[in-house]
Amino acid sequence: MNYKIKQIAEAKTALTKRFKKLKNKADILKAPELKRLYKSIPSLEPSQRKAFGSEVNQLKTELESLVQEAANKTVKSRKAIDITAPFDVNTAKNKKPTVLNSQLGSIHPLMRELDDIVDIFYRMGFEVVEPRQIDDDYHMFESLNFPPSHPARDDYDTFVTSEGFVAPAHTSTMQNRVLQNYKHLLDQDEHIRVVIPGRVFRNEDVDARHEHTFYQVEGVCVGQSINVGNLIATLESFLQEYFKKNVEVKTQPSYFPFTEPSLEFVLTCPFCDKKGCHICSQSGWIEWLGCGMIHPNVLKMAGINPDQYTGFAWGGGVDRLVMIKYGIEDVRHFHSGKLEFLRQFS
Amino acid sequence: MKVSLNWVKQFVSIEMPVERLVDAIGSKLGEVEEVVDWGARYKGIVIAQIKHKAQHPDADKLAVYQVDTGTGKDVQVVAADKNLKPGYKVAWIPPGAHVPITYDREPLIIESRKLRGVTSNGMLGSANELAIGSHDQGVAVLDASLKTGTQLLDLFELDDYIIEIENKMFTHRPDCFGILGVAREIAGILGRPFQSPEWYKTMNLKNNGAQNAQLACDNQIPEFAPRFMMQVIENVNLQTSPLKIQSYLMRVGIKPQNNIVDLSNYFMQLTGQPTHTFDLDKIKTLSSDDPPVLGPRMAKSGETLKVLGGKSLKLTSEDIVIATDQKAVALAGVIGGQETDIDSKTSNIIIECATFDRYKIHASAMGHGLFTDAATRFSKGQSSLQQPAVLSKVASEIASFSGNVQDPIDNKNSAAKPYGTIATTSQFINDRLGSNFVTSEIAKLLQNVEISARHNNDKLEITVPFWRQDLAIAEDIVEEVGRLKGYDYLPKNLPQRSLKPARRNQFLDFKAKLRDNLSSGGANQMLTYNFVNGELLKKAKQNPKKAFRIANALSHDLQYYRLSITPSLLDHVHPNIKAGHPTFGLFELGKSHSNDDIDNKLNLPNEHELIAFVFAAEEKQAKKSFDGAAYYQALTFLSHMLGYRNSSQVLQSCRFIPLKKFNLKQQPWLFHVAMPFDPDKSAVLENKGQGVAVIGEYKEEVSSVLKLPEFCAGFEANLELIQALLPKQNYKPIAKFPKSHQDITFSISKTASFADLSAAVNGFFVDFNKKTDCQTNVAPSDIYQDATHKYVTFSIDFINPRRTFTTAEINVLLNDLSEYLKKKINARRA
Repeated sequence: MNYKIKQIAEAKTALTKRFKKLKNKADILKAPELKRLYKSIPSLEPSQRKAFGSEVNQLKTELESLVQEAANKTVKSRKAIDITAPFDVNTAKNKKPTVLNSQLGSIHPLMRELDDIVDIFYRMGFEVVEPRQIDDDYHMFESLNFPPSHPARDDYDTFVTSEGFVAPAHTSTMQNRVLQNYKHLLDQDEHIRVVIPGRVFRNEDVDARHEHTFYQVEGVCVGQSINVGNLIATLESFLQEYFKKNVEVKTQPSYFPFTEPSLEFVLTCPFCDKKGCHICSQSGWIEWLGCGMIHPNVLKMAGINPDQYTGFAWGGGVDRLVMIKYGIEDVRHFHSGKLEFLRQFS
Repeated sequence: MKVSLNWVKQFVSIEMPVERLVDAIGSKLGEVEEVVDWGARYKGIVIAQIKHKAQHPDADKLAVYQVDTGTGKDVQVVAADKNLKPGYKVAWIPPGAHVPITYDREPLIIESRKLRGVTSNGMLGSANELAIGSHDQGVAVLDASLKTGTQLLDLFELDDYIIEIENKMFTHRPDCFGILGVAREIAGILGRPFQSPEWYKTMNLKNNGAQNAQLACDNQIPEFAPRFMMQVIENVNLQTSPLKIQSYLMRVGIKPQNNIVDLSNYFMQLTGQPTHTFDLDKIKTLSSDDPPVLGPRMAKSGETLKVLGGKSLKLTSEDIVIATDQKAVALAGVIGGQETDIDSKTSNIIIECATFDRYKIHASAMGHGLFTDAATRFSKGQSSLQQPAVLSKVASEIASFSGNVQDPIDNKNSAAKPYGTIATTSQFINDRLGSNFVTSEIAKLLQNVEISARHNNDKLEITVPFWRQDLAIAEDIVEEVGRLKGYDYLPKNLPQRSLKPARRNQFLDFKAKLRDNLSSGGANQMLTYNFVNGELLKKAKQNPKKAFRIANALSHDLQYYRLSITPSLLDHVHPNIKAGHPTFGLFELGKSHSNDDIDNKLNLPNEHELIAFVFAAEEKQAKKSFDGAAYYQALTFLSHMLGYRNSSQVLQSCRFIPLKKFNLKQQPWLFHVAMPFDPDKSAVLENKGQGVAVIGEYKEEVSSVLKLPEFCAGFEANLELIQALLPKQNYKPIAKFPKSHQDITFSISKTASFADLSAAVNGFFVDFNKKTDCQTNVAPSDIYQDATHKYVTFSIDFINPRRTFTTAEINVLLNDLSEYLKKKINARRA
């Protein structure tokens, strides 16, 4: 294509020449010459603008088709392969595909610790159920005794999709389902004992101590005469096994609509043994989780008679425990995908 | 909730050190967020008397004072306030002391310095600088009777601690949004009986009707405003409040304004019940009725209201307003309107004292972003039964300055329940706490916090006090008892259980197995977010319109639920290469969701458990270590992931179908998974018509925009479908006789696929094994290709359970195989 306007013809010569050398062919469309031509249009005499504009557009179209052609060529030039074969043709014996040195491999520390946590609860007689990662308002709030517009909903900073689904902000979204699915055990004089490890989401800004995506372990235990003392003893036993040492615990009253009474669980910092260090912000204590006796309305909604059975539930953060255990300084490392971080956990 | 300890001490005596009290509050009432030593800011500040005043020689706007600070020696202080006269008592902030108001943020410490050549030793504080009042024009002139040299700390009970208790704990405790409620609880946790002041327990108002000569009430929404009370005071006198009241308000974070607003705030802080004051004369001008009619109604959608502070609100039909017949004058329970505000010209006022539906108030506060003290309290659900006491107290306190209190107006929904009762037993309580409390002990705990508890043997009959609307069921009493006793003092016993083992979650174990296999192959497990930027979806050739969009995301990076895991992995390839890792395999287990894939029964999106893997090697490394296409590297990892035994069986139960020939539309999750993969260099792993995984290299455009190296491939598989393919353990007896081994090479046309040949070879031997009870294991060991043909070498083990195969037998068998392959697929033995 020949251009009548000199500037444009010159630009074409320069650009086609450069195009041949370019590694990433699409970059030609970002060339400063092309931008300059477009920019100059408003400063032209009105009578010239139309002709000039249409030639610049033609130049752009021409370049675009060059880019497209080049792309088609590369795709075709890629060697066809037999996807049914176990290795490529003419592969040298010593260069057959192989996995990497196993020393390079690693398991994500959060997943490894979740395994460890879950294993302790298995040994204590809990089964394991995984939570959903997209759910509805009923399981996030309503089935847990949060009426609509209840101010306690604000504490959960929940992500909501345009369709009204929610990203679970706690693993308690599974409570109603677990109670329903396991309640037959109560008739056999067994407890419902289930832990729910999984991913939860809160709509908050990320910094060294806050993540919008993190892990919780929920626990549910229902039976005859299950009580607050049982709850505290269960969590205390878990912590001693997890940290393999004596950790002291204390509670503070709290409020959650789905437990009555509600408690917060605080443990002595396993790093400094109450002396105060950077892990526990010098307080010697670490706030770990919320827990309590399952509210009778929650049991009722799952078809369990609260006069006959009682139960406790808790939901605790896993990231925090793992950070404490390994001295990880920044919660953002967990989801950074950096091999420098991941390969430390081989 | 900020609690002034000295305010609490007006109602309950506390002797223990503040640290111990804070511990007790933490374990028996709620988390203490912060303790502020309020008195610390007053260190060194004393009452001084002005002795002599002189004009500053070089500054018209400054005066030079000689003050007596109680030491007998006069101190020279320069001040901008020229109105102080000898004999006045003021607060002197000596050099080295803090200006109290600056103490918490950017502390300002006074020093001796020259002001225009005259030395000023310290400073004379204004009420605001001293954090005892709002007035900031001029030095605070204090009571003349004060003794010179007295510490300011000794005035107004300033030697105080402010204990901030987490609001969350009080979500169901509207009473604890008042000092009175907190004081009652503190008495309870210290094991002492509490007595509310007499005025608070007075329930009856005289002459309360629906209207009087000055005002009438029209409550259009009794269901959302169960009680609406008003009281007119005529001829009020607006002035600044006494410094003591002002200083108490400042301690808990409220700015003092004038005696009327301050008293309204003071009693809100004390009782939790907000009141609002209107200028009666302004209300009259906005009303066509005589007397004016005021009351709550739902706002009209689009109605506007200018509120205190000047902000103009656009209301919705969910907001409650207080309105005359003409106009809304306040956003109920949240904030007053500017047009009817109290100002210096006000002489007649209306005090409104109401209760509203807590959820409506909460929604209004959230909707308009107005988190006022009143909204915080109303959204917890204040008791309508304390309104008469609070209203008459506020009115009489305002009138104690000046003014004539008129008869109150009381509009109440008769459906509102007064006192509730709860019947329970000590066994019920002990069962749930794991405790062994006797009934009288339980009753005493409750009575300490003014909850009447009649008891008879095991039985307890509890009458709920009017400020405790949260107490409704027996479990609420369990909470009271456990909390007031302290949960930490309960016996800690593990639940008694049977020895029945807990069943392991097999899917979880399966996933862990795959994860461990990949990691043993040198790959690294990562975690990335479920939420991705729409741009990443586009880069990976996925359609954001199919992804669930987060409506309230803080950042664009969290715009969509991801459609598959591969794009997140690919996003981390280039950064890791750049960070100096030449070769690596990354994988992640996670879930995918898309809006074209809904479980209509559950009315929830289907969730697919997926595992994605990507292998990448930068150019130099790839040339050095790998021959052939990256595709096969991914395939090697797929097979390693499944495990040696499983992999051959799983892969043989599936077919590798070229991606471009597979109909993805049947399985939405698979469709989204396949998008980043190059249709010419990828395969769908298919079993019985269903795709279970996609494996291959990535589209040229995907590679280019995500800066992937040339040698890069991966897979993404559906874990549940893979699990279903896992073969049962299939044991074969160990051969008693040595196995024989033979390699054999066949050639096929270059365009034929390896699978055509290997399927025929495998078919032949499966048949042979069946017929003979012999075992043959076949594995390809080499594929050579020239201009026209492929030459595939198979390495074959022959095992006979009765003896070793002879060479002659093997030759016969291989000849049969050659004949068979020639007929079947035109393959020739090479």
